[in-house]
Amino acid sequence: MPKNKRSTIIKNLFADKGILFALILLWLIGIIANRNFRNPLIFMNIAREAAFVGFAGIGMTFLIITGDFDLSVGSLLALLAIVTVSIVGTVGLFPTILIVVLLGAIAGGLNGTLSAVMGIPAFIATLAMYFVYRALAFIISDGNPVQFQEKWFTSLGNGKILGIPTPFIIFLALAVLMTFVLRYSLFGRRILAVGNSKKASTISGIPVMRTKFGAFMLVGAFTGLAAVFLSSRLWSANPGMKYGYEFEVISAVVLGGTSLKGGKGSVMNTFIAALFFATLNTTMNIFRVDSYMQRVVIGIVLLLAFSMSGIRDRIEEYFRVRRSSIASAKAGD
Amino acid sequence: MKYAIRAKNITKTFPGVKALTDVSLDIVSGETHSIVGENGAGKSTLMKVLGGVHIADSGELIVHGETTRFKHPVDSQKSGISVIYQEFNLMNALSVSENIYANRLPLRAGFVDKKRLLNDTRALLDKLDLPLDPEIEVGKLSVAEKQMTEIAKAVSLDASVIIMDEPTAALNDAEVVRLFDIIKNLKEQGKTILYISHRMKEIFDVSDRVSVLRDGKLVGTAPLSELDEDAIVKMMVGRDVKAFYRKPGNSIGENILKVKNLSREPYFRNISFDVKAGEIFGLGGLMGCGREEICSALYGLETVDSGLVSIKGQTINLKSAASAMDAGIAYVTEDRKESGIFPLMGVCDNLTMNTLTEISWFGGSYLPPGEEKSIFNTYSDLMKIRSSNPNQIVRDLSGGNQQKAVLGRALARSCKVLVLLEPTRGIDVGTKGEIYELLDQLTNKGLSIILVSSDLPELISLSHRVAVIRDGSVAGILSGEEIEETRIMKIATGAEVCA
Amino acid sequence: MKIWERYGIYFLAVGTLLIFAILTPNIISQQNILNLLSQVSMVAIAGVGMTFAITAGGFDLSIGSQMALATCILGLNIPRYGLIPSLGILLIAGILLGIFNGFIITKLKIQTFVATLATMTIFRGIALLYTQGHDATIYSHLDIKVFSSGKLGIIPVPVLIMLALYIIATIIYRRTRFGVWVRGIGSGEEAAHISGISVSKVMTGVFVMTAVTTMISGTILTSQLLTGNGRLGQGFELEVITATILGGTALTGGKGSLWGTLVAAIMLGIIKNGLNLLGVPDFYQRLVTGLILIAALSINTLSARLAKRRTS
Repeated sequence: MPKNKRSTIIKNLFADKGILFALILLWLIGIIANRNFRNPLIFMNIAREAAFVGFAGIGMTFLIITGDFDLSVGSLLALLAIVTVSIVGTVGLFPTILIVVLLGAIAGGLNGTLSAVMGIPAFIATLAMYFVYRALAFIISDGNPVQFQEKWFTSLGNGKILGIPTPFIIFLALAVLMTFVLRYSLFGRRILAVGNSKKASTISGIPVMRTKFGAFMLVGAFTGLAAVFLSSRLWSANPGMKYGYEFEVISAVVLGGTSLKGGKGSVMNTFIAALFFATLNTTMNIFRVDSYMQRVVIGIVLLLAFSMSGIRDRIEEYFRVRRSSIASAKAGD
Repeated sequence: MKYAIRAKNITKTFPGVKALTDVSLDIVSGETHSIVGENGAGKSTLMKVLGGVHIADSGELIVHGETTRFKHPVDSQKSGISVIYQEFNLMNALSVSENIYANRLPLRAGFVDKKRLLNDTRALLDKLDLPLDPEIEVGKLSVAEKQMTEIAKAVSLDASVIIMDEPTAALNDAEVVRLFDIIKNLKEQGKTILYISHRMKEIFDVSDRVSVLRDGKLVGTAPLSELDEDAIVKMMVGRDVKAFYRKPGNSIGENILKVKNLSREPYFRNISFDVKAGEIFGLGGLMGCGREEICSALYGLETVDSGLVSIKGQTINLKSAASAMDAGIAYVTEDRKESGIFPLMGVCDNLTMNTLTEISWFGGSYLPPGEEKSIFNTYSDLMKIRSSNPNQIVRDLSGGNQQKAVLGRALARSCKVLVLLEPTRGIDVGTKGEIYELLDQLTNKGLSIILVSSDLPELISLSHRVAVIRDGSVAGILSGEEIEETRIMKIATGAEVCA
Repeated sequence: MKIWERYGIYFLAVGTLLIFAILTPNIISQQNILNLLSQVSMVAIAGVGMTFAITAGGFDLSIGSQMALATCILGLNIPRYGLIPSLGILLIAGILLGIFNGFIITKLKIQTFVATLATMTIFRGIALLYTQGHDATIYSHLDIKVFSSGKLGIIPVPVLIMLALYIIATIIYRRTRFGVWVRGIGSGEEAAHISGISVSKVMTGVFVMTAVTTMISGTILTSQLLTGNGRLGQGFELEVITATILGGTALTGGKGSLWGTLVAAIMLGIIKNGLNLLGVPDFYQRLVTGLILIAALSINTLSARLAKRRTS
């Protein structure tokens, strides 16, 4: 293989992987600085926790690539978790998963109708639904936490397969699958196209509205999945759970390098970013950081992530201009 | 000799494009100096450098005898330069007077002195003979009125140099006449005017001297008296005009496309014409006559009120772009940046976008990369697209390569009719030639092309026949030797009426 | 359609009042109306700032957290330093919060609602840190109560403050340079920049406005509860944004409707009050507010589409 091609492939593999380096750096710092960190159980924990944010993150990556985002996923999560806990005893595991994911997709479809179909800007339509879903969660649970009796259900969120936490394995599998879907399926290609240019997409025969609608449904469905796993892990669901979840999910996507302006993104990077956030939370817990301070830290990290996205673009632009002026100087005119 | 502006060795590069190379230009105080060039020649960039929007990579600017560096548009304004851009820089919710005096609002006891603001504005508008109501919200003005607001703004800033970028692009004839009166008024006040355009007639009406740019370089400057149209075009194009454009010579086949009584109020009505295999059918007419809307309708982008379109005798369903593609119609948009390219996706992805449904397996679950690669190979070779690798993002390509990518994508799906809008807008001359060659090859193979171009010489030389559209109707169809500029203009403006 | 867009909210408000007047006659009692206006004052006052923000093309999602922080600052400082110094500290805090938001948005170039989504978390974290999650009860210096139960004649103090603010805000909006610049930036940021308007200064000013008005609302809330807590104010931003949009301020920027915001806030208050009197539990009220926002947005968007179709 000619030298140029080899270096291009390696360059592509490591491009946009800043988040990977940040994650490894954080792990190294943790291991060196604190003895508790060297316990493999910690990493199991991180892996497990990452999955809960990560599930919705996978769906959110698709949506953000199209240029929209969904602020209602936290409230939807609470609502669906309550539904899960309420029905799992009666209908069993797989029907529950099916029903909750379906309900999530329907909720996503509702968001999609408001936004993609009716044209209400996504952020404000989903902001309104953020309150509606949360209110519904309170209404159907009468404001109280709901618990389930079936002990077998807890193994979904708490169990392990071959020593690795179940949620993480499913998360990893889905992340790989959806990476493939984004790159090699028609739907994924359309998501990228719509995020690049709605007008060009229309001219190329791509159903823009349907594609965006599909992205919203995807987010809802994955949120449903997260709800099932999370309620299993917590042995319960309560209507006030996971305030700020949407915030964590969007942060993971943005931290992973997907730009809020849309047009490009990576599911695997969201995967790594979810691990990063889980690590951050765990680290702060180990170092006994005040839980209120943790909020502040996460907010600041998010700000850094968002502003980095802008800085990153500017750095890329700078290098592009340099490269092209060097190239044209070389071409010697 | 007093110079308003002396530009020396200005160079400006953008990623993938060398916009200006070593341009040196002198503007005499008080003259009206036209800067002419093809699309993509660098006029826009030069203007933005003078206006402080872009900072030149190298070179010197001497304004009114002082060497200056502009870091912000306000710097340029302070030096007495005012630029009126094509896209206007106006705040739509504010009134005319508020837009003009935005950062210089007169105050009385801390509050805005509305009376003085209106009086100042009225005085200004009267001096320039502009019939504008200072209190109207700018968002409600017509394009011509917005332009007047911009001119008033420029004069109020005590600009000694006023730069106008393609000022007549969106004006109707009466408005153009009024604009020229305004320019005459400005000249009498001693203003220096830079007039950027590629419309020959205006240049001859308005200029004292003319400079021609081509491919980012200055070709030459001369007083108007020493030039004629052919000379200017030759400088713009760089080679003998007749040889540059192709003469349509291939044999033409049967009727392929039949358009009958296509109507969509208020844009166009009763449009009927036929297009033959291997023919380039041009649509001529003034801006706003309805050509683009007809093309959109043919491709299913807009619904029509009535009428039908058929290919080889079979009526086609025009409800969407997808159905138009299925029927064998392809479409290339006039604004590749806005609606043509997928900027952050690779060349390969851009080229294959229209054919995805055809090559996918399992109902869209899998797009075989091998097939995509082969489409890429075929079309990037055919179009002679220059990119470093198949995944180089299209945003980083030059304008010419971007246009080729858009064209390639349209052709990748087999088609019988290509609706082609502004094929060479903003492209360097070399690539233009390549595209003309390509169109030749395609028509020789039997492809029909419906061509819309605001570049009249291009339209005239490429088309076998030209339908002139006026006010939404077909005002006349010219063929062969009948196709020439004056004739088209006469029909387009109504000076001549065909049976 | 134009009349509906500008004055529709007034019709809606009157209509709502009538509906509830029928359902719960005691809503019209003088006591209840004064009560209602006091309640409404918090949303309405913060609405002033938000109207400016949306007119300038931005959003401030962090006001709920700012309100919580306000109650904490007052709760912890009034017993120690008394009312006036604490109000002084509150004012300074508000200005700093606004400058922080402005800085992030203008210097770090982050979109407004994403930036305020982040500061929403940070500010609430600070509020909780400040009080360590506990209540900060005001047991002395109870003169703060004037802000909620004080009256001038029969008019409650909060209502007076509200009206005074609205009058000042209208003057700023219509008669000052700042008002012109806010509308200008909202309807053409690029053009404003090229015209020499300092976009960063105006945007920062706008966010200082949202913060300071929220601090005032926070003062009224603290006065009612006599407690400060970092968990208060959740959902406040929804009410304020709903009132602003319902009141006719365009999401696209440049067109603000201050009195519309006031009337919309009153209408929302009527609904809340009416539901309360009918015995509807708390959670349903959030649901209703959310649904109203969606209805308002839908009508806005659909009528914009209709208008577009008619002119094209």
